[in-house]
Amino acid sequence: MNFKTKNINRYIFVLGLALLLFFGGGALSIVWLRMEISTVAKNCGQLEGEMEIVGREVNQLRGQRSKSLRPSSLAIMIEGRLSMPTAQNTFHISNLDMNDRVGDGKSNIYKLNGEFAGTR
Amino acid sequence: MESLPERGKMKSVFISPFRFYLVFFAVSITFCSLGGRLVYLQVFKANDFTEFALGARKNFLTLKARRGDIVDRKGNLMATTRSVVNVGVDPHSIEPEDYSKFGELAKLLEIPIDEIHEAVSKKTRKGTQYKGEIKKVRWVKLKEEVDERTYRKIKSLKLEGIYGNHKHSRLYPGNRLGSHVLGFLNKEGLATMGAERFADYYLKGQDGWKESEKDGKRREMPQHRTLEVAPKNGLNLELTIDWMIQDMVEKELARIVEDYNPLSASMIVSEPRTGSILALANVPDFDPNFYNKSDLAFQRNRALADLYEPGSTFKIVAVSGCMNDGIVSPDDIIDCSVSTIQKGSKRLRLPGDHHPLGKISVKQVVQKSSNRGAAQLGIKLGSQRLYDYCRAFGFGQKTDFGIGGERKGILHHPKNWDGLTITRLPMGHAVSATAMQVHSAMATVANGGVLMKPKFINRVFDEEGKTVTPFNAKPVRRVVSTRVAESLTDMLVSVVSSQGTARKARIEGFDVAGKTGTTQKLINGKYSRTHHVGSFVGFFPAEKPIIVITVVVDEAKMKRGLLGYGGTVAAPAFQNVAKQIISYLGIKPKKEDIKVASNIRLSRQAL
Repeated sequence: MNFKTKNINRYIFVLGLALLLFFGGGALSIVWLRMEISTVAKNCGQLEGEMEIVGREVNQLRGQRSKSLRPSSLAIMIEGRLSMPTAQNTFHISNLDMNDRVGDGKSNIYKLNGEFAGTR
Repeated sequence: MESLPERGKMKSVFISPFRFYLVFFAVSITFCSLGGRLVYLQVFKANDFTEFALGARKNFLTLKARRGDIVDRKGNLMATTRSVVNVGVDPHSIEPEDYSKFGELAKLLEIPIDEIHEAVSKKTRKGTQYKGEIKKVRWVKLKEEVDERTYRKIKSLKLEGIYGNHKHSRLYPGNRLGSHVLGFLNKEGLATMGAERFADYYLKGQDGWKESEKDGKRREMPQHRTLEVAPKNGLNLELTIDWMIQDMVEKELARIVEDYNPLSASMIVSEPRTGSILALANVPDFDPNFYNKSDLAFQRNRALADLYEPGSTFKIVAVSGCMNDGIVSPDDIIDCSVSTIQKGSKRLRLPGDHHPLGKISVKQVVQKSSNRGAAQLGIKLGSQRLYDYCRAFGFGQKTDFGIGGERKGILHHPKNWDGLTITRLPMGHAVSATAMQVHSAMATVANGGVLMKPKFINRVFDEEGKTVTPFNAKPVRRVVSTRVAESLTDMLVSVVSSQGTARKARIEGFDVAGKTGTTQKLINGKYSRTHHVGSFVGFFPAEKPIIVITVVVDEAKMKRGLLGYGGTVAAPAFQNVAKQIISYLGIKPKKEDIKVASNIRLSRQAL
């Protein structure tokens, strides 16, 4: 076997090895990718399921909140303590009066100091 | 020459033809059989097995769209969709150690433990494909519509054979509140009445679907999902109903039931300017969450479906018609002492009044609710014009309110009238109407003579609150001039005065305009003296009407043999609700009664 033939054989071997590595690696990468996609899809599916559960719970809570906020429920809670003001107890203040007394809202005189001041 | 060992080697590889052919054919037959089987499976049975494999693997899921919510005009949730679970058992997946947990399961499901044992014992059932076929039972329902919280507790018991299927269920948080307006969804999820049915197109949304594969435990494998169409949730509905006012109305109706035990009663509250219904309620009513437990008759929206003779509340038609045509003015005198009147060649007999009224003005005809006066006004107006005004006010036709079950009432054409109709129709006899029609007629007067289409929906909106379809106020027609409407309002204010028939509807600080109505019911073809429909329709403040209220009480059972007059049973209900609405909406009283800060010397410190 002469030197030239030997070299060609080596190239063929290297090329074959490179091709093997390329395609083998590519195949393995595809398998790996597919596995990753599967894992991500599975996680997404799980998250979707969890989101659905949370959504269901939110709807459940909205219904419950609404039930406890219905007028008759609220009326029971304040029975004997609070009631709707009568027309006689209602004072209608004109805009002019409001501006005259409270000013443009910058005045500190009428600032609320209670526990819940400024929370709304 | 070959050596001996080499000869021996040759001998050892020699195979007799018989053995060779035996092995050859055996192997060939084996491969042929395998090949044949493969051809049979892959060619002849290919379709069957492909279908079977696909069926076992494929997972086609319908993604149910969530039905939209219904809220009141302030955003309070009146109907919503929640998720519930139909819990069942797979009898084949129950392990012996699971039996000890059945007690706790029964408690959570609120069913007797025997039912669980019975369900678990149902392991097989008869098949239908061939005689004697036995099939495994993989699902026995234990309880329907279990809430999510309970289902979570059930899952924590770790019973593998117990599982549930989620489904959407409609919840009406207010229970009975506004049941006749809301309607309900039946067991099949079909909207059967009320807003649910009217706006079903907007509310129901569009189901989605997805196609994927499932594993051996029938769980979806999301990685094999091929097609997916997301569901489109339903749009939301904002009603014109105010559930605080609705609650006030329903409480008042409950009081009427307690005090008078009537056959039924209806109340309607609306804004005359827009025709928006703020509250509509009837008794008896029902809880839409348990619609199947109530009497079918209780589900009827009586304010739209029950007909009654409106009686004196109908007098506004003849009076306003006469004034609008310039036949009479409020101060013209009507002789109510005469019992008959000559019309052409006919002498018409006039209906009687409760008390002799003599000669009174048109205004007093309304104030004292004179039947004889109204009849004379009807005669002056003439059959055709009276009929035209009845139609213009909306009688004899549906209001197109939208909620199903509405009736158009009875209003005969003049060509079908008998000799008495012209004298009886102006006082609200010989005509049948719904409470909604009477309400609309009075709202027309409150709205300066323009009939508005009653509406109960403000808008349809999406999940972000953006309006998709607005439902604007719709004027139907001008019935009478603004001047006539104002004159009539003045007359109706006098009805709710110390001289009028609706003294019990008065509200301090406000001018209330209204009309009472008391009708004898037709029992066995005769007007009964003991069965009455009492009603009151009114609005306030008279100078700038904001609210119209109608109260109709059918057969109030009065104490001490009293009669259920409109002024006795309906007017106080009007007053009670009106007072609450005034407080709730902060409606200003008459100018001279307004308490403004400047008039009561409030100091800065006092503020």
